[in-house]
Amino acid sequence: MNNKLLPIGIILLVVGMVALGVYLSKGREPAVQVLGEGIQATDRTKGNAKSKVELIEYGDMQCPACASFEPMVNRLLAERPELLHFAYRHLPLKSIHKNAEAGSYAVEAAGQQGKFWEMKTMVYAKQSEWSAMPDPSPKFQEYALALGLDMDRFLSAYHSSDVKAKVAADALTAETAGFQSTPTFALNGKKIANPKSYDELIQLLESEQPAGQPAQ
Amino acid sequence: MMNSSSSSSPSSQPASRHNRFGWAIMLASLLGLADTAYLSIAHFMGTGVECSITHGCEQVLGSEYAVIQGVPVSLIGLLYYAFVFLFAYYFGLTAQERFRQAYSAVVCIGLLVTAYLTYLQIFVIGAICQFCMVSAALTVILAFSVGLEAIRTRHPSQNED
Repeated sequence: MNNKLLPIGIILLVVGMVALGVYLSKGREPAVQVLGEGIQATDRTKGNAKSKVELIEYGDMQCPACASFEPMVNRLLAERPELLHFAYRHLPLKSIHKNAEAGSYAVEAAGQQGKFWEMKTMVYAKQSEWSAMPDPSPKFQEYALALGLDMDRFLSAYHSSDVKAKVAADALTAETAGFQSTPTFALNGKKIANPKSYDELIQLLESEQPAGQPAQ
Repeated sequence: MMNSSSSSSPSSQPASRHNRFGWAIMLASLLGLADTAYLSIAHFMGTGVECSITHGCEQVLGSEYAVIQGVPVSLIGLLYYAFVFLFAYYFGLTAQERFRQAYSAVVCIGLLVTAYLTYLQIFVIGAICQFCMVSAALTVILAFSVGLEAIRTRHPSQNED
């Protein structure tokens, strides 16, 4: 081969070998990650319960990417609640986020007083305040106070086995489906690529509407 | 490869002095090429990328920062390493200074982009992708090689080992 063309041949060879390796290993991986069941009675839900479009978000309270999706999800639920049945499930990635589980407990504990969504938004919005703390509990209590929660009930729930079991059960459904990252969105049971914009999310949800049945 | 370094013509002398840096740059850029090719191909084929060490690949590669206007960042990285490799190869072949300047400039840009992407992983996404960190390490190696080569070019007396 001509000396001048040799490097291009080397580049193509390297890329080709990698492509072959990826292709040959593809068969060993599950093609689509699918949830076994849709939204359950135990889920924290919003939106239109009659909608045929189910969107389940798996989030980690200490994950910055999840926090960045929070305004998009809140906007969707505020502007187009009729479009979907939405559920939020906990997937604390304990190995990389040491306070994620505690964050989920705080949100679930607030949920027992009807402030699940408000607490979730607050914990995400103030993520930088508590993420690095050795013990984030005082911050969560501060947020609970700001939301007007009964502190005795909040603390009792925060430490309760019920709340811990709920978070663990959510995470188990993700584990079973092979979801390992956050945020993960499952649209009608199938994992989707995270939407890059609000408009893309709306488009995706509208495309899932059954034909001839516009969202009510 | 780098065969002009053995030439006795005056113009080819710098290439022979920089041989080991040239080899380091070509080797690092080829490894970077394989790394980014893997991430790009996995992206387009829709296969997952699993981290065996850091457990953050899906988070990083699935984040909004992994794709710019529909183009995966890994593909931009692949082009970056391909250019560095090509320029380094042609510098070795011809000893023309413009090729050295070209890959030096590309590596400088690559270092800045790498610093920003590493910042995003640690402070914004909150997860580490091992393949991205391999690329970051290779770019640091490239930058060191380019820097040392530039120093030796300016101070040829230090080049006598």
